[in-house]
Amino acid sequence: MFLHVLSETQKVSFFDLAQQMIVADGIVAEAEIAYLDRLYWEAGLTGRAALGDVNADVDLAVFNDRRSRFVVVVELTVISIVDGEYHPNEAAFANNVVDQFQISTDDHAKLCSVAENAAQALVDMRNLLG
Amino acid sequence: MFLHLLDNDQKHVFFELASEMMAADGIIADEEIAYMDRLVQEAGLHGKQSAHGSVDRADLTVFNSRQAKLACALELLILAVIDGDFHVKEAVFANDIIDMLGLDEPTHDALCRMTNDAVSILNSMQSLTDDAAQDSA
Repeated sequence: MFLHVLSETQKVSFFDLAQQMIVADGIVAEAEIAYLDRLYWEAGLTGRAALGDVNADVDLAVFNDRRSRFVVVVELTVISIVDGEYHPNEAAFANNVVDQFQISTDDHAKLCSVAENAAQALVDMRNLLG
Repeated sequence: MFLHLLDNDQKHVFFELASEMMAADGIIADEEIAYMDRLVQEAGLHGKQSAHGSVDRADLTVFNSRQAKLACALELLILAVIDGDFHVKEAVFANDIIDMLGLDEPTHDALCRMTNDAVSILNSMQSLTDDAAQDSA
């Protein structure tokens, strides 16, 4: 939803993180895949995105400004809750990224709020589509 | 936010309508331009989009599914209110399009609620990232 803020290099690293988030709880939900597909499309990577090694470390240093870090945290949180469930392993994964980004508790709470509202908007749209 | 639900023909017609919507109130706000730029990028049309359409010429029959109609209507509504002002001419334009798309009143109401939610999300994130950009500078 906010990937337009990221550079091409950052987008690639973001998708590595996103794939790790999706498998974090051991369940790959349909809603998560749908949102990931949407993000690939939004990033202009449809048909070109290679699946990364979900066990490989992602170089977070590419997110070298607070703006891109905020976007990563929101999008990862949306992925983790878009299936209606926030698994402890997903929370741990998100918290680890937030810690490495040195995002304050206050900002983290605001980003979670944006993510929750964004996930709800996606659910509302899905419901309206029937 | 929802352009991924449109095919290429639908996207092109959508941008014709979006251009009309932006000009409807006689004021093209910075927020409208920013959201339009974002939509063009989201649609993968950066550098390829010419937006000089007219609702009189736009072929709304390309929106041949409920999904496409809803996505088109919702994005137009977001564009109309993104600058914090829903001008009467923008409302008239939106209502005309929604009528022409054959969307019923309950759906229109739901779209308006979703528009407010979407704008709130976009503004919250914009505010956070603007603050972050300032802190980084």
